[in-house]
Amino acid sequence: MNQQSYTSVLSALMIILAVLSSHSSAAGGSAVRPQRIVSIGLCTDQLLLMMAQRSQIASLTTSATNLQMSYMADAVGDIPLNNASVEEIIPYRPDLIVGSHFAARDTTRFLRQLGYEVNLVTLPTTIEEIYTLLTRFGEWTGNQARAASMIAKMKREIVEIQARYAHRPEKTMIIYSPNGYTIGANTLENDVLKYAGFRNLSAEMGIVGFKKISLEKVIEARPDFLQLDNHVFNRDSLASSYLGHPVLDKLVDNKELLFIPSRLRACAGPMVTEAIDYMAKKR
Amino acid sequence: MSLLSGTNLSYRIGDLSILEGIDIEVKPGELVGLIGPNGAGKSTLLRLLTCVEQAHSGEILYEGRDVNELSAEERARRIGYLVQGAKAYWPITVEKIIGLGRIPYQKWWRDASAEDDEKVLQAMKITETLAYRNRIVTTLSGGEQTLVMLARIFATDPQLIFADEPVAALDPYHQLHVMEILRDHARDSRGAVVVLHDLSLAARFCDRLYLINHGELHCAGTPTEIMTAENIAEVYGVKTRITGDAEGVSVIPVSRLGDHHP
Amino acid sequence: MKFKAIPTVPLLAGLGICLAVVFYCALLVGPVDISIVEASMNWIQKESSIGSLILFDIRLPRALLALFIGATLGLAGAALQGLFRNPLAEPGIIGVSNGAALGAVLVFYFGYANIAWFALPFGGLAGALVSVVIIFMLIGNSRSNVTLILAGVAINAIGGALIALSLNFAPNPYAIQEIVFWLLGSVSNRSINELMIALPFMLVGWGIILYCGRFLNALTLGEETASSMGFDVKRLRWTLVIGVAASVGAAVSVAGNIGFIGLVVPHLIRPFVGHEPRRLLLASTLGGAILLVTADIAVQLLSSGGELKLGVFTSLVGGPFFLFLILKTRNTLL
Repeated sequence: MNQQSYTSVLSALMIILAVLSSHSSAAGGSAVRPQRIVSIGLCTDQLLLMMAQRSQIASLTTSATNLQMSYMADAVGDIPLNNASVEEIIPYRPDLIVGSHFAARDTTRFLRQLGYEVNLVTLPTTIEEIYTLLTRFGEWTGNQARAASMIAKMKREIVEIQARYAHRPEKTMIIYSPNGYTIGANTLENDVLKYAGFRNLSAEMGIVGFKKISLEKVIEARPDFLQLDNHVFNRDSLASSYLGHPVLDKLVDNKELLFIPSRLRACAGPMVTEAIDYMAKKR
Repeated sequence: MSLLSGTNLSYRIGDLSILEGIDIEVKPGELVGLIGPNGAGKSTLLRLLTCVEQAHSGEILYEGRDVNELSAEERARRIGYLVQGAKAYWPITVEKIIGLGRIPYQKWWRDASAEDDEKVLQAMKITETLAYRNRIVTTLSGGEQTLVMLARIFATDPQLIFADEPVAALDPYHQLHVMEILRDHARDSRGAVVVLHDLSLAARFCDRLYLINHGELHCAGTPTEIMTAENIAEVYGVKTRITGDAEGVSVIPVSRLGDHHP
Repeated sequence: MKFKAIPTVPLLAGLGICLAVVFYCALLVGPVDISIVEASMNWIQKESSIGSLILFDIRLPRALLALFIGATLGLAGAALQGLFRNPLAEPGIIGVSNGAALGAVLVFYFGYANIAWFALPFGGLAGALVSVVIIFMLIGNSRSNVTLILAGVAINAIGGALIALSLNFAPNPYAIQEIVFWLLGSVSNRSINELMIALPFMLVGWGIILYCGRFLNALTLGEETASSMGFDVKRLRWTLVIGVAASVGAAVSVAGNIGFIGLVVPHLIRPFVGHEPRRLLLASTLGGAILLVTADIAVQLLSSGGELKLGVFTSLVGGPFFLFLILKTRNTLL
């Protein structure tokens, strides 16, 4: 159960994509451009909206219209929505189903047994992996040129941002998430912090990935910035009560709490540059 | 003035009448016996008289005062109630159990006073339980436990003692011991009401008897008035041999009467 | 009897000293090394240092919460055992804690906790009260272990299921983890805020229970005898139950269901108070505090990440103890 909830927390917090793997070769080799793509994950929702022709999109998940979580919520329009259940997906007669690697395993296994092509993406843990992801997603959906231009734009933007804030000193930061989790090394967030000119103190403590951190350790580290992860900030849960601990108010007395809008972080894609910009500006 | 008087007492459970129109009186210095077959309502009557249960009708006076006008504390100081098969639920020392009898005199935050200790000591002397004052009550024999429970009542120093079948499971020695203690208590301004199944004991120790049957008073009077073969046959459905000697009346059940349906 | 009863004052003083020692130890334990003296100096001089923040904002509230909740559970266990005249009665075992957790869950996850400061502990109280009423209805006047435990099993199962159901319906992505919190309890990462909302209810509950001490003594001789001794049995029984519900309800509403404290503590202390129900109350209050503060230290030493829930630990220790008690009392109480 722990592993599973860990995974689900992961998914809820930083839905970030990467290329898969087992079916990629088949998908990549397909010459025909898919025309009825169904997405069963929030990230692939956004990637489709950014990259594919609208006529290619058959259905997105209901999360796609969530203004808090989806960067592309405004672009959904009248595209039909689904809850990622097999029953809902089949009537679209999809020629490609895309989703996140941590999507319900039963659903994807079932869909594959039924003969559908299901391509899943995994979490990129660096900016570099996002480029790979975009390239691969372009190949799957037959939008290679669009993918290339998106990558070029990202690279250009990152150079600009770093130049713009180069004069500001480096600052320290800890990301503190519901249930007392923090984000350490080998994560996209860590990369984003680095590009934005922050030292991630969790990573420096030796924390790798998404791990629990003792509140005492947070206090001891005394970061300049504390990023309270408000992805699902909801006072009516014990998980969020971690973020409401009064000692945090004292700790960040002269510091700043930083809330990055979830829609900028919930998925790995071109919006990552916006997140870097947002953070660098606060530095 | 009588120590206790109950007039026209009735008690029902739902539609079922348990007691109906009972009149009872205890005069100073009297040991009153309640007798009657199982289920006649003797124990219920004791519960009404001790205010453990509220009668549905009727009036109970302690020394002429309506029990409802007395505070719970005053009532508790006046009476001691030995329930049927009285026992302790925790393995506490005899002395502690007897000390519980002082509760009606203690404020909730206070421990025992010197007077309390004195009364407890006296109670142990009366009941001859001094020898095992430091023993754990649940390790004692049935007879010893009954004496301890009686001692708890004496620690309260009540005017009236109500005892529900105090000798039911005791050997003859302890039966006599318990009855003697009750008999000694019921002197001067004090009195006692005791429920008994042993008719001979009832006849020997009690000053007056109330014979109860089917929730109603069959008859009341001195042992010689009540202990007649007719009365016993009518109420209990048994044939008895009743003999009298210097020690009092003895009632010996001989055989069941065939047509009796209690 | 292996142990001799100890007079009240030395006993309470001894327990008080033990409590002071373990409480101090609790302040020493944590992932960061701090100097208590230095941190206290900083605090007195109103300087905010890392040490003083950790000591006064993290460790002290946590230790105090463990202390008050342990005390509440010890006291409530002693009170329920006196009331039911059964050494197996305990808030967790008879389902009162799960009832309280359910009440708190309903208030907490559906947004009512912010209506008023007392909404959360009141939810716990209401849940606890409902479960005790059901217990009374189920067991009647029976003192049988079997009836009591079966009633507890039923109420626990229903309470646990309803907690899970409510959390599944609650707008909360962490439901599974939080079910674990409510069923197994924890005082980690709780702040002074949680202590302050629960404390008034706990203290009122303690007062009510301690007030009923004489009644519990009288109950040693059974309900009829207690009644003849001037106690209004029905009213006092309710009074006591409300006291238990208020204190346990408040405790559970901020720390979840921490089991077995109320079972283990009164049993260990009973010989030292000569099995007297009233004297057991205060001693069990202190004993419960000692045990839970100690258990919380153990939990922190065993898992620095804080994954081990306090309730897991108390159940691991208390569960076998419970079985032992069943075996021991099987012949006398069945």
